[in-house]
Amino acid sequence: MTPRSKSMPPAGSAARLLPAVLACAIALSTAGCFTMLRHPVVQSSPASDSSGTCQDCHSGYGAMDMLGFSWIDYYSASSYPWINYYGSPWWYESRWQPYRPEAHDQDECVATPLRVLGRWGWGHGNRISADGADNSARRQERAPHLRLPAVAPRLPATAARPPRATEEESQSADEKGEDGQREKNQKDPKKEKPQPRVLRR
Amino acid sequence: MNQLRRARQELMSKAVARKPASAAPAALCLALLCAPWLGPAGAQVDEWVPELPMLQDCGVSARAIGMGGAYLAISDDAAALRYNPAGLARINRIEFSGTLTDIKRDVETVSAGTTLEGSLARTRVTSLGFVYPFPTYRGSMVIALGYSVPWIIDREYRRAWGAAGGVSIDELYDDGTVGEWSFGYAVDVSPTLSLGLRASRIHGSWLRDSRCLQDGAIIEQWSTEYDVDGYTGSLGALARMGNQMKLGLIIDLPRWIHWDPTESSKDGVIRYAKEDLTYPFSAAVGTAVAFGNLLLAGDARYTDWTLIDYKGPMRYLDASGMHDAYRRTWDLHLGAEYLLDVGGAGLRLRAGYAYEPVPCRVLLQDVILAEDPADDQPVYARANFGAQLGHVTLGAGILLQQSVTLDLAYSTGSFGRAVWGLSEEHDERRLLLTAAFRLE
Repeated sequence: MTPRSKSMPPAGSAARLLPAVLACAIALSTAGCFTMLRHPVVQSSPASDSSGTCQDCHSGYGAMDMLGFSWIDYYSASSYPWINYYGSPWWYESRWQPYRPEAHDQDECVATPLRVLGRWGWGHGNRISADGADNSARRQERAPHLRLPAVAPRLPATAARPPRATEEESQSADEKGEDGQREKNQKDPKKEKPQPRVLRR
Repeated sequence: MNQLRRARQELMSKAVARKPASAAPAALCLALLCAPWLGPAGAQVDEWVPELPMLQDCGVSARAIGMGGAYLAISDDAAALRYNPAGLARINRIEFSGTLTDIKRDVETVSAGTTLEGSLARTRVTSLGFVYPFPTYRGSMVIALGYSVPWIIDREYRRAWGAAGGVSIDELYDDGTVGEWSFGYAVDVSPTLSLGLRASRIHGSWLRDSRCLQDGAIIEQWSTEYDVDGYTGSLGALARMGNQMKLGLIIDLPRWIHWDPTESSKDGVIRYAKEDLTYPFSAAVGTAVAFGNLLLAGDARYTDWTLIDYKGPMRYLDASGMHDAYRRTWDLHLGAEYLLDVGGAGLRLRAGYAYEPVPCRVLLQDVILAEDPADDQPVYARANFGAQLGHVTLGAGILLQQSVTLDLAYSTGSFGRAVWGLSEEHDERRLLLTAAFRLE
């Protein structure tokens, strides 16, 4: 009788190792992970002279990137129902609702729940295309019932302190309006990162 | 080979001379049908290299099959649990889904101057899935549970044998499936990279009815029931390259199986010892690219079937020595999907092609009978495969109420193989229907 191959362990011992291997894989994949399940606790720095609002940490339009939804262009060429089917998280209203920049903490940041069609625009609503053209008008034309909501904040990578704007600078920033936002988005986002407050997780 | 054939004929004549003429075909039937599956203890079991079940994946998603099975880099629904668990991270709504598969297999054999056909069709539930994405502030974390039936064993096989006592016919009727209960987990580890894993418990059973006939009369018949249990898993990765392209990678771990055969006949029930079997791991890489409304996808899968461990390596003996009965294969899948707007509803049309070579490259050409059936000697020969057309697939899907998708797929394929004295023609047709519902 031909002996069993000695290079292959018995099925029983291999099966027992499998859960351990999988558990290690889970632990390694989630350690220091990009994915965030909780909003970081924001702690004011004693030396901070910021206005203490959500806007200190989060930039404006286009800040929330639908990073995982890479087929937005594939579906945006067609009807919004597919976009809604694939790109509309069920937890949107509790996590990524339109925020109020003047709010002082996370609870205040969350606006009144409002279901808005065109969630696909969230994060891509005012995104500037590579050629510099503003796609928002084009999308409105294709689906005029879509509204482009304000975008939920994206947390900056570094923990530097934003400079405090003077009253004059604040007024001129308000006057710029959307044009100012477009210009801002046209610039390389990596070079134009805001200066956030100290964050404590 | 000619020397072996002469030796076989001499042995057959001697063996037949020691037995009553009417018993020779029955002895041949018994040797042929029993030994390949049960691996009789004490015999030269390494010389029997049966064509094992669970070599072909029948698919568990109509959208995937409609695209020729090229789903590795797409995997954006519950089917990701099977095709690429990293794709679960792309799902952001709670999803329930299920698939029905209708499969029809036709096998035509020509041997001993006799053409025989076997045909069997079945409809089965081949997948049930549940996906739950966790609420996140950034990235994605998703778990999934599912039951899938990638291995449908159903088949009817008939073959004629020429012997001194006349022509006898073997009939094999296989009925059953082997499925997986799976748990999947996926997480975004960077803005453009997702990792995922799947852990599965394999469970299933099938029944094999065997009959030997001569001159239209049943000489012998028995049933063998196989209960299968085992474990497996997979590790996957999905990377986004820009806005139009994704790359996927998956490693399917070995399948550690043990099965428990029980034979029943008019002489009673025989319970055989459990046997262990290990199928090899496989690795696949794929890509998907979107051009406006057109989505193109392709993937390639490598499997070294020579690593199958069933009481040792699967090797057979011929005049030139020992050889591997299985081979290394590259499976290729290509698919396309076109998105249409029809009155505001979404409609997707699909087509694809799957090239999946048969892993077993030998056929049982003959059996040299011995006085003791346990000493019967199989004669294998490397099969000549005709042009393997692979599977051509078509599919369509529709979106209803922004929450329900219905997908339909049709797949047809065939292959032929032959050795001296035997030729086979296999045809398969599959129809899949998948329904998925996403909560808002």
